[in-house]
Amino acid sequence: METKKEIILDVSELEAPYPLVEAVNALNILKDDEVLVFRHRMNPQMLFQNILALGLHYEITKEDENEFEMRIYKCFKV
Amino acid sequence: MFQGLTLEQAPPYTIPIKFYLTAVLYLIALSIITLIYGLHVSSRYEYEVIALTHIFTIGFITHIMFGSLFQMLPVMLGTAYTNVVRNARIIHIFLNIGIVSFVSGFLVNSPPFLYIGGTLLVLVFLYFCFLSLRTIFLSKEINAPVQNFAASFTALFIAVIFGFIALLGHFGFVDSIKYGNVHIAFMLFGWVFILIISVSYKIIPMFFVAKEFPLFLQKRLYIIQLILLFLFIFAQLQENILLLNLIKILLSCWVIIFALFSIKILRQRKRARKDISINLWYFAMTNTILAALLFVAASLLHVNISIYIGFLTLFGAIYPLINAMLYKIIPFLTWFHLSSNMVFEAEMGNVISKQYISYQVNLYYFSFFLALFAPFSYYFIILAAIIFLFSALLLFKNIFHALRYYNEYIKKKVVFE
Repeated sequence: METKKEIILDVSELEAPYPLVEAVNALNILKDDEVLVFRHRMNPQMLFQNILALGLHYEITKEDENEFEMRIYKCFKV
Repeated sequence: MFQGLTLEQAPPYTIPIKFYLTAVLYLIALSIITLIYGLHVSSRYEYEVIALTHIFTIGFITHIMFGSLFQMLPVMLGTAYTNVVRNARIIHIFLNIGIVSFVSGFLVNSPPFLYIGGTLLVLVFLYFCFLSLRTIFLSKEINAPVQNFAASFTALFIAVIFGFIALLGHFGFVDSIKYGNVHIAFMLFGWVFILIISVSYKIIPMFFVAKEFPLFLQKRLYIIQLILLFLFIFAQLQENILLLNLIKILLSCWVIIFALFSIKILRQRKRARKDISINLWYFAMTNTILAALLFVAASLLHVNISIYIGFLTLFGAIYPLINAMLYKIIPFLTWFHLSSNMVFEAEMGNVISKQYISYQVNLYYFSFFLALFAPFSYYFIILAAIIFLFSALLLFKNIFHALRYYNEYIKKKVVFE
């Protein structure tokens, strides 16, 4: 299985709306062979529509108190 | 670089803003009507007090909450309200006819106005509950925040029913006080409190770079409050004073626990910068704790200070909290809607002038402290009402400025053919 390059985006110290801005910017330039590891202090509910609108896939890997992480990628899972 | 957000579920920008502006018109009306009718009030049972209270609760609070929910709920659920523009318009029109008729009914002691207003308000509230609950049940995202919202709608539904029964009591059909107490408990500890905690769980971490509330509170507090409120109905209707007092203490304890957690989380926030909204939040939470303690003391010592507790709760706790939320939500909404329309020049910090926010909030603080001296002389009520009138006018100006900012920037939207 092909391994994708990890791009880490940690927005957990940013206040609204900058986590959303940074995430959308990163999603728009995400390449086929990359996976965006998105880290935040909370579930970014407004981001999911954008992920789906761009035809991307996501997988939530951590959702605890004050810790949220998901992997966003194109087409197929890595 | 930034290439937009999607806006599939959110309603048009003008819907929440229209509700917010209407809400502030009721604050302006509240100040003026206080000057005419509110100078000599002394008991919560006087019709003038009931009218003034409902101008604030239905006129101001409900408009803010309905406007915010029309925006927030679809984004959180991923499911839109059906026919949101038409339904928001229907609710807005009939809510306002209902409020004006209902409040006039109390002020001029007119049963027809009271019944027409009361009936309209019941229908509007139940229709909004139905729309919101249906939106929730159509969604696949039934997570803790959504469950909190559903719980607050359930409390609203019950509060409205008991409110209408209490209204019938004003004409001798039932014991108005008994049913009125259940109505107030479900409105304040149910609808308003659970809605405030639901929104706080999102807003505090989002806008203040603070930690999330403990999961226990997020997942269990609304259940505990609802169970206590159902027991409250039983104890109140059975007139079981011992059980009633125990429930009042428990309801108040959870309110205090939430307030203390809010203060703790805000004090531990990562970016401890000066912020007017944070100060309003601290002020609101301090008054929440004071009001809850007074409520417990009054219940145990059988002292009738309900008018002071009501003042502290509505004007000292709920009002500044909503004021704080508005100054976070409105700039974000404006930016969000502009960005979604591919207009990227907008800056959240420029949506409302910080200077005018500061003037408005300081006038509010001043009016609050003047009103505290009302028991000594009614001149303090006159002064407080006049100062609050200016604060409300400034709040209207600030929200209107956000609308103008949006209208100015949305013209820059690029339309692709």
